[in-house]
Amino acid sequence: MNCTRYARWFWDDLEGRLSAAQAQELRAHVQACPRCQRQWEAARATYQALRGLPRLRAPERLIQQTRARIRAASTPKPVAAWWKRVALAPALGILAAAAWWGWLAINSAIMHPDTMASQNTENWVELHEQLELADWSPTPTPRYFITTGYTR
Amino acid sequence: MRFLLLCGVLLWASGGAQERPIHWLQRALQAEGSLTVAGVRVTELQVGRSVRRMEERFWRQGAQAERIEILAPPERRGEVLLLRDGKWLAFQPRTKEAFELPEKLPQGTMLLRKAIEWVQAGALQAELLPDTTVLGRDCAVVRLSRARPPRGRPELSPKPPHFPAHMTLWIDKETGVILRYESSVHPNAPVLRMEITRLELNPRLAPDLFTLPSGVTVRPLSGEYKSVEEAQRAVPFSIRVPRYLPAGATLERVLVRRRLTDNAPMVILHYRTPNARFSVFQTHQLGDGEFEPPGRHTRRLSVRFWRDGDYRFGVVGNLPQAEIERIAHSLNRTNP
Repeated sequence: MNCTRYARWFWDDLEGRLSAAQAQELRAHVQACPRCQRQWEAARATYQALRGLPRLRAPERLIQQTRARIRAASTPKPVAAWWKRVALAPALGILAAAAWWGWLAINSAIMHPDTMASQNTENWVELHEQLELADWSPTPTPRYFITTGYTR
Repeated sequence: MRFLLLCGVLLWASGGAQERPIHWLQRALQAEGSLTVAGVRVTELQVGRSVRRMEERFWRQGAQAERIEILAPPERRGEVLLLRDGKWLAFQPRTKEAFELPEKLPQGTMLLRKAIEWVQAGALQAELLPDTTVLGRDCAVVRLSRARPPRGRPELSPKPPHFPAHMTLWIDKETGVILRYESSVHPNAPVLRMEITRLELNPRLAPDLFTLPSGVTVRPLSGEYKSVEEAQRAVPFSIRVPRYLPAGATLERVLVRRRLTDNAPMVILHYRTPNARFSVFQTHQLGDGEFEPPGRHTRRLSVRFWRDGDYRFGVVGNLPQAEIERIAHSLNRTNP
């Protein structure tokens, strides 16, 4: 697999949506490829910055207007020719998928800022476990890396 | 006839003894302390989905000297760890600075000595698994686990040692070199694996392999400190120490971690009790960032994360949740 495909996995990984095998494969590649490692670090920094944004609520009027427009858009329209409906279906599917993905990204990044903390706390649990394990290593390298940071 | 019988019994006994796991451990200890070997090895720390992979070249002259050159991760490639006069030094060949690593770094000899001691004391159970081949060499496979007390007689059990739940060693039958190693602190918990992927026996070693280049200044390694007082000089905020500690808890190490992606340094106080370990994490950051996830249990760890003013704290360990809460409570400034 090439770097481009791994790069597409960055955001899924940050969102925790990769399978264990995929995440492991991505980690192995990122560790071995300096270019991807830089890109991954940049993606992570961006992701963390997004999560650090304050939680803002849209003005009530804007919410009402948007809801009214959605309701208006969803009212039944005169039926188009059957071939138009067939052509429209895949386009709507793609649009819905993109909207859903975007909603997920925004929802997890901005609407739930406590997930930022849970990411940090996961790291702390991981660090504690690494500290426990490294004491039982037959070589000093794991302990040295834990002290100095795995990637500095 | 009697003489022949006696010889037969002695031969049988010595052969049988050789197959006992503790003798393989002793053989490995002897090899660690006396053999000159070189090669490449890979160590992995697997915690959940995260795998930290470290690859290194090594040259070892018994227990006296060792040189390790990092190959992976790529960012750390070229860094050298050097054991000389009983101390580990870390340096980059391009720079004129070397860093002395803290004492009591883990090593094969220490690990094996402890294992042998506890197997002999009956606190660890050692078993031989079927032989396997690693690097094309026949290996005795020794699995160590904490001994269970006899049924209904817990008072007969020796004090449980502070030792991983499981440890498996693949020991080369010919030389005693540990070719593969795996340990897990608790069942179904993170795993540490080491495997030698290339091995040279009695290699020719360059005379300057275990010496520091001339003109290199040695300093203590920043990041790990012997005491909170020492670490305090390295961080811009006042390090808080828990006022409550469980019985028998001792401070094992003090770490200060700085990463480019973190806004502030993080201090880790790592404690050990006779039966457990726990870490106290703290950072200090001005402002009202969100940091109040509910305390939650992992499968085997109790955790508590909270904010107190500009401090963010975390306590993680295999203690009862009530103990974790007491430690956490004692870190808050407002509490007496």
